[in-house]
Amino acid sequence: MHKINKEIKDQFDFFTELVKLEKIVLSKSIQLVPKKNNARWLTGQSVIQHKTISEDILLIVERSKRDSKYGIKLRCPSLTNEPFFRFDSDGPAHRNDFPNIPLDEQSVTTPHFNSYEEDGKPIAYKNDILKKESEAKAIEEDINFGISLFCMETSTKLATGDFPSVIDKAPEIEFCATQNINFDNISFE
Amino acid sequence: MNNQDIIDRIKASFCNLTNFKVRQNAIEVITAYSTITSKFVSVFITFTNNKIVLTDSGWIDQNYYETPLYDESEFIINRMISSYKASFNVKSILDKEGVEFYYKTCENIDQIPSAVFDLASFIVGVVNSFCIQYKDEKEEKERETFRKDANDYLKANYTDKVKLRSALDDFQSIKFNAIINKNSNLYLLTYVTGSNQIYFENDLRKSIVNFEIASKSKYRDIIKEKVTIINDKSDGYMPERSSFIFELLREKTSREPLKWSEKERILELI
Repeated sequence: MHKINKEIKDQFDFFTELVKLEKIVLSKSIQLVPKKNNARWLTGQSVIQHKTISEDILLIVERSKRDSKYGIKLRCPSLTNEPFFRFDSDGPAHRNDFPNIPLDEQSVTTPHFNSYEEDGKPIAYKNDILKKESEAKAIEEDINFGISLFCMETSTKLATGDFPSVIDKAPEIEFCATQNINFDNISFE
Repeated sequence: MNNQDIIDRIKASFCNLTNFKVRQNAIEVITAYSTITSKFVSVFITFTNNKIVLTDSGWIDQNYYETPLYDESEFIINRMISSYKASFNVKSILDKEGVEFYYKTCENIDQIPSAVFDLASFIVGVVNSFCIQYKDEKEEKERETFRKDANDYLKANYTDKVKLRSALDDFQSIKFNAIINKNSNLYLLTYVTGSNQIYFENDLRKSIVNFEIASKSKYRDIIKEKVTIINDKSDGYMPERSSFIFELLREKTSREPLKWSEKERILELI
């Protein structure tokens, strides 16, 4: 499959600079509205100002209306089309298919971050906070906690030093407090 | 090399690769099976409406396994899903919002591990099927380009005397790339191209059969020429290798095929 991101591989120093150096989120709050091509998802974004890089960078938040799974991504279109750094709150575990990682350590469950290695290959990981089960659970359930974690991990904050908040612009759609599907509503035979 | 050591390592790794997430109303089994999109497959076990149900929780339908989506492959993918469903005895149902859930049911907990195995194998198969591009883009492009170029050339030179993608009245389903009607004579033309030898020979075969059928038409006496325009610049053009089929074609046509690189000869002929 098209696993290797050639653009990130060829400009790995630039990629590292993008992820690691300080960034400012220009919008104090990120407003979620329904996605144009997929009504089951909400999306919102903010422009990011980087300390040393002048190219356009976007912070994008997406959330499912069905099971409250959410994702946070950073995109730099001039580097590559795919998001160059991501956070997934829920969903399948990622396989870190690298020869130096023992098989039973190759599975990284959600919530996790998705980044890239020097060879352009995607890698998923949990930082120290996500490795603690109670913290991970809290982050899965609270998108604002997730945004704060994402910002800390990527040296991103508001000009004031705080973290942005995520707001649902169409509050008549109730967010389910749990992250689970109600199986009782489906007539399995 | 200590065999037992190797065996123990493999057993332990495979076993440890299976993880579990206990959710509010289900157990998520994060299985040891992964897709070619580098995701491990999850099977959800829940107890609902008095049944033990194992399901993908709609993750395939919502593309949580992050596969590409090739619209033109919809039919073939649906056939693959049906095949896998039959092999692993998996059923599906839509929820209220139209999301498809693939599932199996169990009568008791003893059946659960085997059902997890089946459903996980099903999910891997189906997700991987989505990833393959079934359409040969190179071939499609090559074919389209040649057809357009040939059509444009004939239109430019024969204007309303040429009908593209046309058929004889008595064999409506046999289409010729072009039929030229000039001075009460008909000229039947087929195009042959291909990005490899197989595709090229398929086109030759089609021409052979179509010209053979035309020879049975009531219009056969006014058909002055039956000729093939071959794209001699295509990768599939291998005259020595395809010599046998070229010979067969020659038996059905009124003359040797016309090469696209010598297209002016068409104008000399017609």
